[in-house]
Formats: sequence, C-alpha cells, structure tokens
Amino acid sequence: MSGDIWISLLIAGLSRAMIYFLLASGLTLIFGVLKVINFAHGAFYMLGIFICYSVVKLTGNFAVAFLIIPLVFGLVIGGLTETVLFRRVYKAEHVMQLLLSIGVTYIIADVVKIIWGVSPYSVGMPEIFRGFFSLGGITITKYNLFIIAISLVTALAMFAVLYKTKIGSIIRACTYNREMTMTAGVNVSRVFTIVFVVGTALAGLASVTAAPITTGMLGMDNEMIMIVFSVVIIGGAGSITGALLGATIIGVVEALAVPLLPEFAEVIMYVIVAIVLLFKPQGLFGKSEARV
Amino acid sequence: MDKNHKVVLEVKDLHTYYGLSHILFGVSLVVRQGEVTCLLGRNGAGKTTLIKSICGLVPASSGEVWYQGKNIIKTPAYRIAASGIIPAFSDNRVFGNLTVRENLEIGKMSPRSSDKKVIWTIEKVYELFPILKEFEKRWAGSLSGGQQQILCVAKALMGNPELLILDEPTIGLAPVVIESIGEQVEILKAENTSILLTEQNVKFASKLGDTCSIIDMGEIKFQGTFGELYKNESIVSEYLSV
Repeated sequence: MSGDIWISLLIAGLSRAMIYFLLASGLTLIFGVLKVINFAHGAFYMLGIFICYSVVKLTGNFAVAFLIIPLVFGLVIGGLTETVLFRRVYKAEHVMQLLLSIGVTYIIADVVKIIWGVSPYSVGMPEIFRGFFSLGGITITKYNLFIIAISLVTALAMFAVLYKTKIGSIIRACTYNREMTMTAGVNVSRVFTIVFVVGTALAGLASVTAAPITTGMLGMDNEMIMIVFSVVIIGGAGSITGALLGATIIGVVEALAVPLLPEFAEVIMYVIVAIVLLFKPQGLFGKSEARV
Repeated sequence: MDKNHKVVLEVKDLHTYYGLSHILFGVSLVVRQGEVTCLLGRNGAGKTTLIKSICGLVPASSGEVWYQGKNIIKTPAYRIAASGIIPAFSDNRVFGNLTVRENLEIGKMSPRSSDKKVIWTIEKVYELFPILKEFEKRWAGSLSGGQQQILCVAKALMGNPELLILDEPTIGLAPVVIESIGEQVEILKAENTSILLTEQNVKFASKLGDTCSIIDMGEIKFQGTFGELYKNESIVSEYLSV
C-alpha cells in the first residue's frame, strides 16, 4: 500500500478516535469530580443514537437533532440519573456504585428494545456532508473532517471552561478535595449535578456526532463502554488531556491494526491497556490525586 | 476571658462518632467575639473532629452548636461556611491544582454584617501577605509548606469570616515561619476577628490566646485562662507534654 492510503487510514482512525474522546471526556469528567465510574455511559451513547434516528425521521433535519439532543439529553437523562439514582450511592462502597450503573445500563437497553425493537437503525449521511476532499492521493470524507473539528472545538471549550472560569476552578477544586470546597461555601452536591449533566450531554454529543456513520443496534453500548473505559484507563482517570491522548492512541492503533494485524485488531487495545497499567498504573496523565 | 464579649459560638454537650467509634464525649465550648479561643490537645485527642463537627463536615450524633441564634448541628457544611464559620485545616491546606489566585477567589465571600472593621479582598490579602501576590500565578501545590499555610489562612480570610478556625497552623513549620504566622494572627486579632485556634504548640497558643480548653480522649479536661493553666502543672504535664 502506498503512503497516501496510510494517511487516509490514519485520518479515518483519528475521526473514530474523536468519538471515543467525546465519550471518554464525559466519563472521565464525572469520575474526576464524583469519583464514580458510570458504566451506563455506553448505554447513554446507544440511547442517544436511537433518539437521533427518531428525531431525524420526524423532522427530516439532522441539524435539529445535532443541536437539541445533547442539551435535552444532558438535562433530562443526566439530571434524572444523578438526582434520583447516583446521589444515593456516593457514600456507598464502589461495588454498589458499579451495580447501580450496570443496572441503569440494563434498564436503558430494555427501554431501547421496547421503543425501537430489536432491528438495527441507521440515520444516514446528511446531504451537506456527503462526499470527500482529495489532496493528492489522500482522501478525507467531509464528515470525518467535521467529526475531528467538532471534537477539537469541544476539547478547547472544555479547557477554556475548566481553566478560565469560576465554575471551572470550582470543578477542579471538587476533584482535589470535596470537604475543603464545601468549607469555601460551595454547594458541592449542586456541582455534582452540573458535572453529571455536562458529562451526559457530552455522551449525547458523541451519539449525534457518530450517528451518521454508525448503525444503531442493541449491544453497541457494551462494546463502546469497554473501549471508552480503556481510553480513560490509558489517559488517566479524571484527566481530559489524558482522554484526548488515550482516545487518539486507541482510535489510530485500531485503524492501522485492521490492515496490518487483522487477527489481533480486537486484542490490541487491551494489550495497550496492559502495557500502560504495567508502567504507569495511574494512566498517562493520571495523578495519584485524580484531577481534571 | 471577658464575659462582656458577645458569644459567637457555643458548643453544648457534643457527641460524635466515626462509624462505631465514639470520638467526642459531650464536649462544650464557648467562643467570644474578638477573642482567640485555644483548643489544646495531643494528636488524636479530638481537636480536628470537634472543628469538623462544628463545620458540618462530620455529623455529630447529639448535642448542640449555637451560632447566630440557631442550632446549626444539622446544617449542611456549605451553608455553615456561607454564614461565616470558615476553617483553615492543616491536613488539607490548599487546592494544589489551582493557582494561588484561584485559591483566593474560590474562598471569596462578601462580609455578612455592615459593622466590619475590615473587608477582606484580594488586594487587602496581598497587602498582608505580599508573597502571595508574587506567586499568584503559581500552582498552589508547588508552594512550600509555610507558603501553603499562609495561603490557607489567606483563603479563609477571603470568606470574611465571623469566626475563623485555625487548625494547627504551626504544624510541620519552621520556627521562623511560625513566628511570622503568629504576627499575622496578632494583626487579625487586633482587627477584632473571632478565632478558634487548635494547637499542640502550647507556647505559640499562649502568646495569642485569651482562653484555652484542653481536650483529651474526646473530653474537655480544663477550661480557663493561660494563667490558670500554668498554675496547674499537673494538667500541663498530663495532657500536653509529649
């Protein structure tokens, strides 16, 4: 294969990586602040894809779905899950938190089954994003470029909020020490809700971004949470920079492994996780004290 | 102790547990306006548990904490802080992942009463602790222990406390730093700030304190002035000597 094809593959891998990043950033943000690994994050992603399908079918307009779903998703799904369910288990053992998030996963999977049935759905590529750019022998689909752009904008926005605003410094303070944040007069449980809503909205954003290139089907939630959890482990739990790097590593390695080592393509992600855990158990950007 | 000074905080018969272990056994304590009230005791005597109970961080199982006419024993920690009881803990002094300035801004609260002599702002805090201005863009985690302690006190002042709680401000610090912290506390006291000071360092506390209570095994063993304390050598040697 020529060099151009490799570059095209790399860019396709990168756009896949950016979907992982959108998901992992929400998961890692929630973990950094709430210290809860929300395994239902993958189910949120699947639910978002199905909702996106219905909204596009109903309105005939992808832009509407793209703008509305993450917002509503975060406020409704994120808000309800945090205030009704997760709030009750912050002081419980990790096993209880894990069981709750797995329970939510099953509930969402059944809800999807009841509403959409068991057959797969596809949103289809919006007209405006069809086609590709060519540069010499390198081809990039328009939509892949869009995915990379939207994800980088999201990453920049997250850093801007976290490091340049008051709520950002409050969120970072919560990741450092909850009690100390409370004694500064901050209502920490409200911060938890905000962070959970934002993290879930990011899952919704990942769904609508991935929808045109993904087939919505049952089981995709479990597949995705394994990948995204690996991304968070590689990058270091709680670190947005780590999520960006971890997602890039996994997405690109996955894209290159398919033609190079097809028989190992599925395993290679776990090999990377194992190597990182061996040499840097806290992840590439993880601190012993988890921070954003 | 001047009985004419208004009571800021009154703890009555407080009992606190950590899980199944009983830590505080009916502790009572009074803090008066503009005074430095010292709480002395060895490591593990219950000092930090008592102030965490006052701040709402550790739930007390019974007893009362009266502040501004209300029993705040069930009030959430952030509301207690917002109403003006602001602690500076020695175990977690600063937000290491925030800059010095961000640490100060996060602690910022407006004064609650209009008769305040001093209103703490970032500028005013920088005036009292010039080193913080110099380091305002640095990560707080990169400061030395003494600098972190200064930031810890400054952060609490930014909340314009009605009651400032200083939890072992001298622990682990060099004598020269301890001396300068003592000077800063003197300034705060002169500005009529009410302070609850916990210490193991009796010498440091006695220079600043108006009254002292000695806590051991979760019980108050002595309450009075430092003069009275020093007359009673057996108490000093039993509860305070290392």
